[in-house]
Amino acid sequence: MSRLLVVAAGIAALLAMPGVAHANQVYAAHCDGSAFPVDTFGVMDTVCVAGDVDFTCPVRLGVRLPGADVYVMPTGGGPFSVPGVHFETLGGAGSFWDIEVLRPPLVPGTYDIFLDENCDGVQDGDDLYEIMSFTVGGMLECTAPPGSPINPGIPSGAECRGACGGDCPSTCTPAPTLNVCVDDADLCEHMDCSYAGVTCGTHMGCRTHDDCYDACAAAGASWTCWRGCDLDCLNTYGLPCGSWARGGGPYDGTLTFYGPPMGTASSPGLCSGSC
Amino acid sequence: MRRWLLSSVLLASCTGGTMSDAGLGPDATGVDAGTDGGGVDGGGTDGGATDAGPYDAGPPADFAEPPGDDTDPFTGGAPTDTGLELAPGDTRTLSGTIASDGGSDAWADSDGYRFRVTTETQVQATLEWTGSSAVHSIAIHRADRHLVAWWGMSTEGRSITHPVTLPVGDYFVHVAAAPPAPASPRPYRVTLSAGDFGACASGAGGDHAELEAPGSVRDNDAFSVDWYAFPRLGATSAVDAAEATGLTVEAGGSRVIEGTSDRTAPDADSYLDRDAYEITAGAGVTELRVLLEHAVSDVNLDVMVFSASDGLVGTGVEVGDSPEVASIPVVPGQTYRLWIGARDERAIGADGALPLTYRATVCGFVGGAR
Repeated sequence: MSRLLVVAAGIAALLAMPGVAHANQVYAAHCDGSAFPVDTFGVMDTVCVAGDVDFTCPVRLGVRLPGADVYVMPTGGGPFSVPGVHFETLGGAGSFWDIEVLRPPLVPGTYDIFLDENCDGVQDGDDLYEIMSFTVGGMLECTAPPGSPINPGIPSGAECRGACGGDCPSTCTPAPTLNVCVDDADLCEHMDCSYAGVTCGTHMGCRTHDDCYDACAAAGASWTCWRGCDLDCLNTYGLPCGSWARGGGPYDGTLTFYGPPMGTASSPGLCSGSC
Repeated sequence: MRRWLLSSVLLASCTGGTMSDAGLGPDATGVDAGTDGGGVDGGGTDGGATDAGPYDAGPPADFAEPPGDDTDPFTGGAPTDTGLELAPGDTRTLSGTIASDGGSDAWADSDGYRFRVTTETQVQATLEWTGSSAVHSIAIHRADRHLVAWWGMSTEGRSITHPVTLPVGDYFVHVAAAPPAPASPRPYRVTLSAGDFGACASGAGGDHAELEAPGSVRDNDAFSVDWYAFPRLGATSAVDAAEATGLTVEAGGSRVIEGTSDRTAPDADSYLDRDAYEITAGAGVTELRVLLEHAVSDVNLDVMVFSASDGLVGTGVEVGDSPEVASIPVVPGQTYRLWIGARDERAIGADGALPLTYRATVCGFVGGAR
C-alpha cells in the first residue's frame, strides 16, 4: 500500500469545518473545500473524499492520531485491490475533506469507497465500505438500438423477428455499423456508441408466422399451437413457407436489426467539440 | 422500415405460358412419339404399350396458360380462371410451361388454374412434363388457398395428387417446379379427373415388420431429404439400404408394413429416423397408394417413394394428424423404395411420442376413375 500523508485537511479542520460530515462516514466530493457529496463525476474531474473517522491510526513512537486509509476502486474490485491513501485529521472531531483519491482522466464506471479505520489493513467491523458510491461518466449511456433490436427480449428468446428464417438466419447480411455520439452537457463530455447490425429478407408470411410463434411462446402453448402456425402459413402461401423457414425468399422487403451498443469511454467535450 | 416489393417484380414475368404444347412433338425420352387417344397417357401406357416417358403433348388441352399473366396464386399474382367445370366422370386438361424468365428462391415457376366443381366428386390431378429431373409438384387448393390435396411431388415426369372428395365450389390446381428456372420454357400438361377413385383401406396384419434393430436407426435410411420449398434429395451419408421385403402389391390388393420411427437426431437433413422398404408394383398396377397410420398426432410422419434409379416418384407430405396418404404413379413390375420419415420438429416439441410405431398399407390400383 502506498501511503500519502495528507496534512492540509487537518489545519483546515481547525478553522472552518463544513457541516455535512458526520461520525464515521465517507463519500466522494469535489476537491473544492465544500465537502458536498457528489455521486457523478466527469472523466476530467478530480475526485476527493470527505467524511469522518472514529478511530486513530499509529503515527510513530506509539503516538496515534485520528485518521484512516481510504481505498477507491471500481465496483467489485475489493477493498485492498488498489493502492490506498492515508490521511490524518490532526485534531478536530475526526472530520476530513478534500482528500484527493483520483486524478483525471478518469475511467468511466462505478466506484466503491472503503474506509479502513485503525489503518490495520484488515476489513473488519470498524470499517466503512460504500458500494457503488459514485459514478464516472454516469450520465452517459448509449441509447437503445435504432430500429428493431436483434434480441427483442421476448419469452421465446427468438431474435430478428419478422425476418424469414429461424432467428437471424445465415441469409442475413451484415449491415453497415451505425455510429452515434451521445452528449452529457452537464459534465461536458460525450460518448461514441456503435451498433452492429444485420439486414434480412422479410415477407408478410414470415412476419405473420413469427408473430404466431411468439404468441405461442408467450402463452406457454403446446406443439399444437406452433404447428397451427405452420399450417396457417402453408394454407396461405404454400410452398414458399419451406423456403422461408430456411431464410430464403421470396421477400417483400428487408429488415435491419441492431445489436446492443458498444460504447467507448467518455471523452471530454461535447460531440460538437465544444461545451 | 423500408419495403421492397420484390416478389411482384420477380413473379410478374415468370408465368408467361404459350399454347405451343400441340406442336412440341415427341417427348424427350423419345419413346412416345405419338399422341394418346385421350390426349394424356393414362397411367403410363400409350396405345396399349408401356410408355417409359410419361409426358405426351397430345392434342390441344382444354385450357392453355395465357401468355403474360402472373398466375402465381401465392406471392404476387392470381390463379387464372380456366372456366372449366368438373363433375363425376369428367376429365379436363390444361397446358402450360415452367417459364424460363423468372423464378425465386422458392420455385422456378408457379402457376395456378381455377376450376369449378359442379357436383361433389373425388378429384385427382396429374402433372406430366418432360426434359427435367427437377422436383415438380401439383396440388389442389380451395379458392381461399387452403390446401385440399397436398403436394404430389416427383422428379420422374409424372406427379399425381391423392384423390380427394371436393364439395361443389371453386378451386385451383397449382403447378410448380423447384428452382432454378429452366434455360428455356418447359412444357407441362395437367389432367383433372373426376369420379370414383376408390380408397386404400387400412390393411389387417403385417406382411413385413421392420428389421432395423433398436439403437441402429441408420440401417435402413437409404435417402436423405432436406426441405426448402421443395425437398432436396440425396443418398444418406451412412452405408445403408432399403429393407428387402419381397412384397408385391397386386391390382386391387394391399400389403402392410409395420415399423417404428425411433428417437434420434437428424443426419444432416430435415428428418429424425428414416425407414425405407422395397416394394414392387404388381402386374397392371399403375398407381400405388399409401395409407400411413400411427397412434399419436404430435409426430409428423411423411411418405416418399423412390424409383430403382433413385428418382422421387411420389410424396405424402401433409403436415398433421394420422393418417398420411400418398398416391404414387408407378410402372407395373418395377420395384420401388417406400420411405417413411419423422420430420424434425423437436423445436416445437412435436417429438414427444417417439419412438412411435406405424403401419403402412400399400394398395395397388390400375389408375384413373372407375
